[in-house]
Amino acid sequence: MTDTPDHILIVDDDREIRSLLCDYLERQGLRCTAVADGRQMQAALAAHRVDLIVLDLMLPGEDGLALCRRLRVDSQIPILMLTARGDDMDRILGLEMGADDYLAKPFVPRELLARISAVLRRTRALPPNLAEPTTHGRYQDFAGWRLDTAERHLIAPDGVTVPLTGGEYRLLAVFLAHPQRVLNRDQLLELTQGREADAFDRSIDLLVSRLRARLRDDAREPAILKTVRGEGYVLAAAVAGAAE
Amino acid sequence: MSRRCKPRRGHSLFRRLMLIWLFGLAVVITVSLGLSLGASGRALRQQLYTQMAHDVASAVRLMDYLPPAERADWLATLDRPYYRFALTPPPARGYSGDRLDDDEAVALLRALIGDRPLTLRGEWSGPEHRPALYVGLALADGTPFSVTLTSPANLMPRGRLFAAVALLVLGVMALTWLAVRIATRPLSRLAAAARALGDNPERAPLPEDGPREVREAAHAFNQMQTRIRHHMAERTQILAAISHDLQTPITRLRLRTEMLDDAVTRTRFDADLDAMQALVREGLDYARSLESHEAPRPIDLNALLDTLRLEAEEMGMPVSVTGRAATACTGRLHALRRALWNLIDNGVKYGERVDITLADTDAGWQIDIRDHGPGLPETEREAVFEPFYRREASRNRDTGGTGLGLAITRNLLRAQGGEVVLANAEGGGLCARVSLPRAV
Repeated sequence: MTDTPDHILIVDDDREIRSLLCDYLERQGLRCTAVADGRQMQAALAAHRVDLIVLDLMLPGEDGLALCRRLRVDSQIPILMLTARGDDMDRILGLEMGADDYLAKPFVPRELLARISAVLRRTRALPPNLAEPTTHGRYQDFAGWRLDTAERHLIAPDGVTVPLTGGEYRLLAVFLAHPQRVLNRDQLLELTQGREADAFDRSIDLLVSRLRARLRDDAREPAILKTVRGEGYVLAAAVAGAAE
Repeated sequence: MSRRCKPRRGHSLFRRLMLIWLFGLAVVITVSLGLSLGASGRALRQQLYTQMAHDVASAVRLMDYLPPAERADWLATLDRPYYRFALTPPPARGYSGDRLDDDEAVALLRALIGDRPLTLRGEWSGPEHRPALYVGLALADGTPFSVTLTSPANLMPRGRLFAAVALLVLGVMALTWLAVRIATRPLSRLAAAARALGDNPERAPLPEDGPREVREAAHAFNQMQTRIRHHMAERTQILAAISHDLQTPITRLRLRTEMLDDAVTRTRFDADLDAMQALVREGLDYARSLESHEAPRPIDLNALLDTLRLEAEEMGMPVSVTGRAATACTGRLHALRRALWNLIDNGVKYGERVDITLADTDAGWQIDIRDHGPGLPETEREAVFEPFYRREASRNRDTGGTGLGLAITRNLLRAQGGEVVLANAEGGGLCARVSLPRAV
C-alpha cells in the first residue's frame, strides 16, 4: 500500500451528493475530487493521478456507460458504478462495459466505503502474472458450459440455466479469468473476498465442492475444477469470451 | 375477491333463441302442411265422389234395364277398386244418420237415379279396416241392390310422409342451430374476452370482424381494454416515478446522517432511512412486477432452491430443502428467485425456520414453503396478497415489511402462469404453495 491517501474521483450530476460524498470520503481518510460530467472528468484525469472513479450512471450529456466504455479503451483505472434501482438492463450493460463493481442508490455510505476498499484491494492484490486484463464480453464459454457474467448464472450444455450464489459466481469468475493456471487458497480468497486467509479457513474448499456440484462435475474424479495436491485448484478447460 | 358470477343453468340465450325458433317453425310447418294437404285432398275427393255417383247411377240404370237372370253376370264388370255392388240388401251393421244424407255425393246420386228411397249406413272399420259406406236401394222391379264404398287408401303412403316431415324438421333444426349459434357466438366470445381481461390486461385485442354489430361491440371492447391498460400503466408509472425520484434525496440523507456526531441520533436516522428505502425499493419492485419483460428459460430448480437456501443461511435464516426436480422448469429466473425469496423471508420472519419441499409432477412443479409460526386465520389468507395489507397484529414496526412483498410475489408468479396460495400446515405453521405449470 502507498503512504499517500487514495485519490477518488467522483462523477455525479447532483451537486449536493457530490459535496456530501467528498466530505464523507475525506473524513474516512481518502483524497477526493468531485466533478459533474464527463468533460470535467477528462480534465480531472489529466490533472491528477486517480486511483478509483465513482461514476454515476445517469449523467447529463455523455452518460456513465459511454464514459466507462471510453475509459476502458486506454485505462485500467478501477471504476465503481452508481446505479439507481430499477435499471437492471443498465446494470447488466455497465458490468459489460468494464465497471469493476456497482452499487445501487440509495446506498449506505459505509457500504460504499467498503466497496471502494474492496475494489482497490482486489485490483492491487493481483500478482503481476495475474493482472492481465480478462477477456470481456458478456459470456464466458468453457467445457460446454457458459457463464453469463451480466446475470451471474451458468448455462449448462443442455441449455438449462443453473443459478449460482454470489460466492460461487465470484469464485468461478476468478477461475475463468485465469484458466489452466493453478490458484492457491490465499489467492482465491483475496480475489473473491478481498481478505487474507487464515490457516484454518476451509471456505474456499467448500465453495469449490459446491461449484463442482453445480457443474455436475464428479467430486472424486473432477474433470473441470481439478485439485492440485498441496497447491490449490485449477480450471482444466479453455475459456472463450462471447458477446452473444 | 375473484368471485365470479355463474349464469343460472338453462337460461342461456342460445337455448331461448333455439326454443323460440323451433316452436315458431313447428307451428308454421304444421299449419301450412295441414292447409295444403287438406285443400288438395278435398279437391281430389270431390272429383272421386262425383265420378263414383255417376258410376253408381249408371250401374243402377243398367241393372234396371237388364233382365234379372243376366244381372249377376254383369256385376263383376261393374266392380271398381273402391266400390262393389251386390244384389243383396246392405249389411245391417254400422251406424246411420242424417249426417250421411248431407253428403254431396249422396245428393248427386239421388239426383241421378230418380226419387228412390236410399238406406245409408256408415262404418268406421269396414272391409280391410277402412271406413266404409253402404248404400242400399231397390231396383225398378223391387230387387234389393247394395253398393259398398270403401274409403280410398291414403293418397300418399304414410312412411314417405313421415320421412318427408322428419327431414324437414331436421333441416329446420340444423338451420336454427346454425343461425342461433352465429348470432350468439360473438357474445360468448366477448364474455370470454372480458373474463380474460381481468386476468391479463395485456391480452391480444379481439378481432374486429364479422357483422356490423359484432364489429362495433368488439371495437368498443378493445377501446375499453386500451383505456384500462393506459390507466394501469399510468398508475404504475406514477408509483415508479415517485419511488425512483425519492432515491436521490434518500441518498443525500444517508450521507448527511453519516456526518452526525451523535451516535444515538444517527442510529435513529438510519432506522428511518431504512424504512423509507425499503418502501421505495418495494414500490419500484411492485411497479415492475406488473410489467415483466424477462424471457422464460429452462431453469434448474434444484440449484435455484439450493442457492436460495445458502443465501438465507448466510443471513442467519435456517432453511431446509427436500425433494428434487427431475426436469428443468421453464420460467422467468429473476422473477421466480424474487418470489421464492419473499416467501422464504416471510416464513423466517413469522415462523422462525422454513422447510421447503419440491415436487415434480405431471402437471408441473410444486414448491411448498412451510414455516413454524402461528399460521393465518382463513379469512386473512387471501387478503394478505393485497398491496399494503397489514395484519392487525403486525402493524407495529418491529415485524417490518412494507405490505407489498406478497403482492409482488403473486404478480411475479402469475405473470409466468404460476400461482401461490396459503394454507395452514398440518402440525402448525403456514405453508405457501407455489405451483408452476409444465406448459407456460
